[in-house]
Amino acid sequence: MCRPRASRSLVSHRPGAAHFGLLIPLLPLVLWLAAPAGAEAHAAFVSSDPPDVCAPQAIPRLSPTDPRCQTGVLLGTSPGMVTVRLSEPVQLIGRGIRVLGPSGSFVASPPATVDGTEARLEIGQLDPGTYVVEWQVLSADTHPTRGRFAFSVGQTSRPAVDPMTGDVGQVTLLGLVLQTAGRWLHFGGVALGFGGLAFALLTARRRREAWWPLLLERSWSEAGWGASLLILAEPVALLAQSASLGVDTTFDPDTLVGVLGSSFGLLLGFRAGAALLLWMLAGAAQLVENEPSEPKPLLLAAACLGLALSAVDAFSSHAGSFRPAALGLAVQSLHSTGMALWLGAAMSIAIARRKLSGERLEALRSSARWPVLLGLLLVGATGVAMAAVHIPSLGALVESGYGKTLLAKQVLLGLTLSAAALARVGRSRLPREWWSACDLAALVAVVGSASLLVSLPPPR
Amino acid sequence: MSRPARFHYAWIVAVVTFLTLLATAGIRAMPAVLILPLEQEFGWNRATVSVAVSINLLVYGLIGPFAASLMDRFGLRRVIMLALTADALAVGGLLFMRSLWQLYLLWGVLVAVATGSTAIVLAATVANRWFFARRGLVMGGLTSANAMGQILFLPLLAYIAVSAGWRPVVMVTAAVAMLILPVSLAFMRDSPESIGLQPYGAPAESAASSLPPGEAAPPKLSALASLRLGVRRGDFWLLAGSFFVCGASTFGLISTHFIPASVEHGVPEVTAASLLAVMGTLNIAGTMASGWLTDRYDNRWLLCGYYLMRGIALLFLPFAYGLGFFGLLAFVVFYGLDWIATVPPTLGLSSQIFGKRNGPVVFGWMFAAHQVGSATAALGAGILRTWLGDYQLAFMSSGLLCLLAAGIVIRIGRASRGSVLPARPLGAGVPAAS
Repeated sequence: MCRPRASRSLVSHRPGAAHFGLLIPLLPLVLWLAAPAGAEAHAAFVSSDPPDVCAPQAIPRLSPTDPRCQTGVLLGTSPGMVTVRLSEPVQLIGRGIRVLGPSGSFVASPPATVDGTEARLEIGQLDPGTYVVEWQVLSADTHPTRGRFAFSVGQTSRPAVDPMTGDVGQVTLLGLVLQTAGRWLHFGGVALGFGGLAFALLTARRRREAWWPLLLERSWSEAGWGASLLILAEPVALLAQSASLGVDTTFDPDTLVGVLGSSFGLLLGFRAGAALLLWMLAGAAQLVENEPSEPKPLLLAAACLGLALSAVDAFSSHAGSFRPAALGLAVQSLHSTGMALWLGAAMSIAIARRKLSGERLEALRSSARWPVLLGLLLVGATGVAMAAVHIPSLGALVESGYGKTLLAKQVLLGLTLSAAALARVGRSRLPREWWSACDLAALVAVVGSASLLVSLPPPR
Repeated sequence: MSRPARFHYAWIVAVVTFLTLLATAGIRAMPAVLILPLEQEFGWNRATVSVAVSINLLVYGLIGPFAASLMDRFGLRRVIMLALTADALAVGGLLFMRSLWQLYLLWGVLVAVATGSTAIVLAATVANRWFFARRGLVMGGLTSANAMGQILFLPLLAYIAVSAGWRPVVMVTAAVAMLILPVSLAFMRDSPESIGLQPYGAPAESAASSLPPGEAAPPKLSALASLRLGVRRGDFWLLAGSFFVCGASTFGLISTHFIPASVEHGVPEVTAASLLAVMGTLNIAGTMASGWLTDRYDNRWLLCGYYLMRGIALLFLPFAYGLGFFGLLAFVVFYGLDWIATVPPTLGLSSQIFGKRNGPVVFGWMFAAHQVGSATAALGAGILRTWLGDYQLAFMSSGLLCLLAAGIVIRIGRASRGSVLPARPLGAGVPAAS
């Protein structure tokens, strides 16, 4: 037997000190990542010059089906400059603004510039006809936004492309789907990666009981899988950014490189870094498995990492709708922390059910009560706060896509809680296991609706 | 364990090795000084001269295992003599250079073969042959010669180049190699056994090979045979993979691109060069400390910590530029401290897994991976820079690679399938005082 021997010969002589040492470099990272960075919600179109009379925010506004939207405002002379104003400071992606002439080719111009909330493009003298402006920007919270509108000089003509994009939430449908999928994978990875560990940490005072070592072992192996999901989410999120700006630019190298060079590139780097650190901690946990040392330092390191990641996630969500923005970051982080706690405990029980039975399973269940309650409380309180900030009126709840998604999420949440209650009571004809499975499935659906919610712009 | 004698010949061997490595580092510091004058005199451009540097980096790395194997067959002393002579001749040959292929041959191949033979594998072989206790410390001290050589020679050579031209630079460097030659001839000894000694700190009762009693010495393997031995074990790939990242994130990325990146962020060139020198100084302290730690703690935890620190420092670098001088200084301190710190624990693990005899040769192959990493990153970062217009993506991705390496090294010792050599606990990893 060479393998056990090999690992024994490499075992540390003073393991405890080394584990504590691991925490030290993590601490500044956590503090630094958690520092509020002035995040904002989606950048929304405010106004433009020449004016976009068909944008949802335009006053007065034409209906998108109005034929005048195809040609836009009619100007007497060439405007010389195209300006797009947004609700918050933005970065340009790719060329930022382009103007498509009546012939179907782009108007020659110097690169677009951005100054805070205003993006500009100088255009020379234009021939008579209808032109289409295409703009694409990235807001501070890394959400991509694009738009298109027409204007005419001297006379109208047939626009080279349809100025009405038919976008959902100011991005392409494919982009929205990919964004949701990427976030789903990411949130799933967070729950799987950190949830079980958080549960183990919260129940660490009962570590002498028979079920706890099993819980710990399963949690670390879940953490490895969670890290894989987190890594897998990154390329999906990257493609979502490029697809959001146009289906044809999904694999366009220049757009992808532009996205990577923007603040989204930094976000992607931090999230991948967190996933790799989690993977490293899972490896370290296996190294100390057979040692009688304290498992707590590694669990604490994982908890710090999880909090740091939720702060990074909050940065890319709608935290900026709060004043001050730091409050939004805190609320958003607590929301995802609560989600991870709840989902982690639920998954740990579902997984442990195969290995434990009778009293031990009951002990595990009863110890899960307060982590789950804590998670629910966090999710509930922060969820209400976020809804209050993002939904300006009851009407917006049923009119906007954001509101509808929020409603659907509440329905799913209700189903989850009912299934959980039935699983606990066990007074139905169906077995408890069945209800637990339903509970877990509904939870996954809740996370899916949350992913869509974060991808959509909140109504203003 | 018997108390080591008050003075042991091993320390003389270590000092001679240190001087040899110092001279080698001086020779290797030359291109930084020579690139511009060569371009001016011969009309070559940056890319063509860089090709010579790249060939040199690769050959320098790949020659290591073969040099280790030669040291086993012909002895340390002969290999050092040969390498120093070749160094002096090849460097001197640059004086008679007329066309580009001569630069490729002399600098790209000959100097690389000669300096590669007296580089890190020499340190590894000396540490393993002459020391049983304090092996990590010796390895740390010897590898710090690399940084020290750069700090000593770079300003000197730069001064000579500015005041007297590139030819005197070449003459001085060749002369340094010739100076070390008689010192080595006089004091270098092949092994403790050849002068009737035990390795420093070896248990008195053990056989000459310092193996535990009753255990037969494993066969000594050639360079290629040890590569075959290595590739069959998962641990080799984990160590070589992490060492690839090490090369990519140090010599490939920071040595090559730190100054241009800093200049682009408005840091004056002299300040950037000084920061690089500060890094080199810290590097000496870091490597020595790492050697000391290697003797005392599980090498996997050490490596994991080093890569973690380096990864975080690199992820922080794009922001450090925004924080002004003190931000950069913070990066320099963190980064400098574990620049070469990875070498002692990597050698330690290699010796624990592949045995004292074959460990250095296998380590030579890992060092080849290190050099491939250096060459890849030097080129890759340049390409990313050209494409994107800044270094953000290059710094971030190498930071992530370091975090990946931290996860890789912590898994060493569990990945081996079909063990060829039984792993034995050896001097490294055992507290010297126990």
